[in-house]
Amino acid sequence: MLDLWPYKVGLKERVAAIEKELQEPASKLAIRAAIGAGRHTIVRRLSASMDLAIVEFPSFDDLDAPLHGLVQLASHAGVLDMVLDAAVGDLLQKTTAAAQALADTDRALVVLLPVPRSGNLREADATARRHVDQMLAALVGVPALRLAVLATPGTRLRDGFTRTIELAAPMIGATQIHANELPGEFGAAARALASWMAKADWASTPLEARLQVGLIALGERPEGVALRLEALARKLVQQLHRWPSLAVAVHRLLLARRALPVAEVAAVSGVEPRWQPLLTACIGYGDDKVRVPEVTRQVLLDALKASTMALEEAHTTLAQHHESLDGARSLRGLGQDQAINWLEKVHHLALGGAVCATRWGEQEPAGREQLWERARHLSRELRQYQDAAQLYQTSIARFGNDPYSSHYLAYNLDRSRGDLEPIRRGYAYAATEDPENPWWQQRWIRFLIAHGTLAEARAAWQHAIRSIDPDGTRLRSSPWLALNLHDRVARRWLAVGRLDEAREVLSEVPERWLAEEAELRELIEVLTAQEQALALGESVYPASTPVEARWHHPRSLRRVRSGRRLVAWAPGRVVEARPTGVTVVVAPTPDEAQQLTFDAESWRRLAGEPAEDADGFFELGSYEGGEQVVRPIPDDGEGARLDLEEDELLARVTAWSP
Amino acid sequence: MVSLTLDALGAPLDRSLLHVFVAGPGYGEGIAVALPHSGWLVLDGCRVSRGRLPILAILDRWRSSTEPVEALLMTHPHADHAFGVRETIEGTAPLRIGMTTSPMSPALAFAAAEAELAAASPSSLDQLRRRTVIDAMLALRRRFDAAPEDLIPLVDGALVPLTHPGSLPSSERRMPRSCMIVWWVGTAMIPTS
Repeated sequence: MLDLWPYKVGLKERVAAIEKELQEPASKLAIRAAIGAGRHTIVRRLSASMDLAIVEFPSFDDLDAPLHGLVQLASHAGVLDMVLDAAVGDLLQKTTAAAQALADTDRALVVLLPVPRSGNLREADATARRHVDQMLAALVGVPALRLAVLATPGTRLRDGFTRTIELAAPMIGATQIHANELPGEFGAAARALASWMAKADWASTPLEARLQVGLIALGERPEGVALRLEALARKLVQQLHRWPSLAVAVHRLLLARRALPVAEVAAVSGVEPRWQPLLTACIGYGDDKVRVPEVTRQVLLDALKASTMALEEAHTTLAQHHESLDGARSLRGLGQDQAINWLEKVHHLALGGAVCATRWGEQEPAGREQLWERARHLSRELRQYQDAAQLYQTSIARFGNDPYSSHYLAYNLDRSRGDLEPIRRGYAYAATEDPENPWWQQRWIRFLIAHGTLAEARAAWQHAIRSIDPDGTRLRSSPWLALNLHDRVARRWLAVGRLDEAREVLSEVPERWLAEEAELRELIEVLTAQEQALALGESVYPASTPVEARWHHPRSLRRVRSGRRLVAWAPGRVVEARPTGVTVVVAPTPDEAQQLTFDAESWRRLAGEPAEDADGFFELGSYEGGEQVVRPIPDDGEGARLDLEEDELLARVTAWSP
Repeated sequence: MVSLTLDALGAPLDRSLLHVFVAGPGYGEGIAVALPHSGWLVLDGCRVSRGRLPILAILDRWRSSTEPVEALLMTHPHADHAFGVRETIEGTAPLRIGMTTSPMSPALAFAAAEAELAAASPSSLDQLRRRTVIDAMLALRRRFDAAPEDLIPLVDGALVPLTHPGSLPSSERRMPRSCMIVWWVGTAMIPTS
C-alpha cells in the first residue's frame, strides 16, 4: 500500500551508525524514535547484522509488562529458570543477574520500550511504568552490558546513557501511496487520499496515511483527515460509532499485544471480509503479521466499549493461538519463543472469563504480576471483589508482601465489605511502603476518615502531602494531583458531613483548577451549598440549584407582574403543611432566616393552592402595591451529589449485624 | 436542686452531688451528667456551627482525668443528636455505649436509621444531616466492633454498670454500682442505685 523505499534507503545508514555505536564496549545508547520512525524495522535490521538480544515490553497498561521483559531477557541469557527461583531475589535483582549473564556472553541487548500515554501517570499504568523504569536503571547499571533502548521522544529516561540518537518519522506524499494494492473501497479511498495530498501538498507519516485511508473508506472526506496520528485515531473512534459490529471487531483485534499472523485476524476479531483491510492495512500494518501502532491502540482501547463477553471471546481465541505455540503449563524449560507464547497465553487466559478460568488456574505463575492481572480483571471488569482479594492473598503467600498486592487486597476486601482490620493493615502497609503513590494514599486516608479516628485521618493527610508534594510544585503545575488526591479526600470528608475538613483540603488547590476542572467545580458547589445551609440553619433552595444562582436573582418570580415591579423577594421552604395553615421558613439573605405561618386562606391567595398541598421550596415575592406571591423553585434535577460515597458508607453502617 | 450559670460553677465540682449539664441550640441538646462519686454519662451530641463542641468543652472543664465517661448514650439517630458523637467517642473513650435498640438484635437501630437516611433528601441541609448521622453511626459501630460486650441496649430497665475512679474516697458508703435507664416516651431517666 505504501512505497517506503526512499525511507528504507536512508534507514540503512542510520542502522549502520547504531550498529557501530553498539559494538563499542559498555555502550549505552538511548534511541529516541518518533512514532512511525520504524522502530521494529530498525531492530529487525540490526538483528540481521549483529548478535542481538531483543526485549520488547508489552504496553504499560499490562501489569505483566515487567515480568514479560524479564522473561525475555532471561531467556536470551539462557537463565530462564532463574525467573522462578525466589532465592535469586526480586524483579530487579533478577534483571541484573540476567543482564550480567547476557553481558558475559558478549551479546548486545536492545530494549523496545512501550509508548507512555501523554500527560500524567494513571493508576492503571503507574505500577508497570515504575517497575519497567527501575528495570531499565538496573540494565544501565550493568557496566559490561552493551545496551540500546528505543523509546519515543516523550519517554523519560534516566541518566547513564553514553549517547542519544534521535530518529524522526518519515513523511510520505501522494506518489508513495499505491492504491492498486488495496481492494474495493479501500483502493478508492487510497486514490482519493493521494489525489487530495497532491492537490493540498500534504505529507503524512506512513502510520497516518494508513489511518487516513481507513477513515476515507469509512466515509470521511480527504480534507477532513488532515490530522496527525492521535487525532486521526480519535476521529476513527467517532466513525466507528456508525459501525457497531466493526467497532467490536477492531476492539477485539486490539487485544493482541504482539504482531498477529494475518491468518488469525479473522478468528480473533470476527471481522467481515469486506472490512478486513481496515484492520490489516489501515489500523494495523505488516506483511505476514499485523501490528497495531501503540498510540492508535491506546486511543482506541480507551474509547471502544465492546461487551465483556465479546472481549472474553477474543481473549479465548488468542489464548488458544498462543497455547498451540507453547504447549506448557509452566515457564520451566521453555525456549525463547515458547516462553513468550506462554506469557501471552497466561495473559489472555487471565482475561478470558469463565471459559479460561480453569486453564488459567492450571498454570504455574512465574511472578506475582500474573496473579495481579487476573485479580484486576476480576475486580474491575467482573466486580468479583472477594475472588480478587483471594488472588492478592495468594500473591502475598506465594511471592511475599508488596505494596501493590497489599493495597489491592485491602481495596477488594473493602469493596466486598470484609472485616475492617485486614483492610486497615493492607492500606497502611502500602501507604507506608510507597508513600508517593497518590491513589494508595487517598484510599488510606479515605478509609481512616470513615473507619479510623479523626486524628489518624488528619495525620495521614499531612503525611501524604509531605510525601507526594511537599512544596506544592505538582499541585501548581497541573490539576492532576488535585483530581487524584485532594478531590477524593475532600469527597470523603463531605460524605461524613465534615465541611471544615473538606474546605481545608480544597483550600490547598489553586483557584485555577477549582474553576477549570468540572469535578472540582462540582465539589465546591456541594460544599458551598452545605456551608450556606449550615450557616443559615436552614435550606431554602433545592440541592440542585447552583450556588451562583442563589440569592442573585429570582428563579421563579417575574420581575414585573400586572405592571407592578417586584420590590422584594426571598427563597423559602415549607416546614409544615396543615389544612388550617402553612409554616414556612424564608431567608431574604444567606445569613438571615425567619419562620412565618400563614393561615389556609392567606396561603391559597399567595400560592394558589390549598394549604395541605404546600410542599418543597418556593420564592416569596412582594410587588409594588403590596401584593405578595409564592412560586415554587424549579428543581433542576439531581444536582451535584455524593450518592456513591454515601451509599458505600451507609452499606457499612447497615451491614452491622453483631 | 440548684440551677447555676456555667460561669458561676467553679471547678472542681463537688462530686458528692449529681450535676447535669445541658448544652445545645434549643433543639437536639447534648447532656453531660456528672454522677455523684463516680464518672460521667453523656447523652447525645449537639450541633454547633463552629468552635469546640459544647459537650466536650464541659468535660474539658469539669471532668478530671481520673473520671471516666461511664457511657455515651445515643438516644436516636437524628443529626441534631448525632453531631459530635464521633468526637466524644474518640476524645473521651467512653467505657460503654448505649443505643436505642433491641437487646436481641442491636442492628435494628441501624435498620431504623437506614430507613430514616434513605428518605429522599432534596436540600443541602438534609444531605448534611444525613451524613452527620452516617459519621456517628460509623463511630458507634467502630466502638462496638472493638468491644461488643460494651454495648448497652437503651431499653427500659437497662443497667449501666459504673466504675469508681481511684481518686474518690473508697470509704464512701453511698457509692452507686450502676444506674438504670428508665425509657419512657422518648425520655431517658437515670436513677442510680
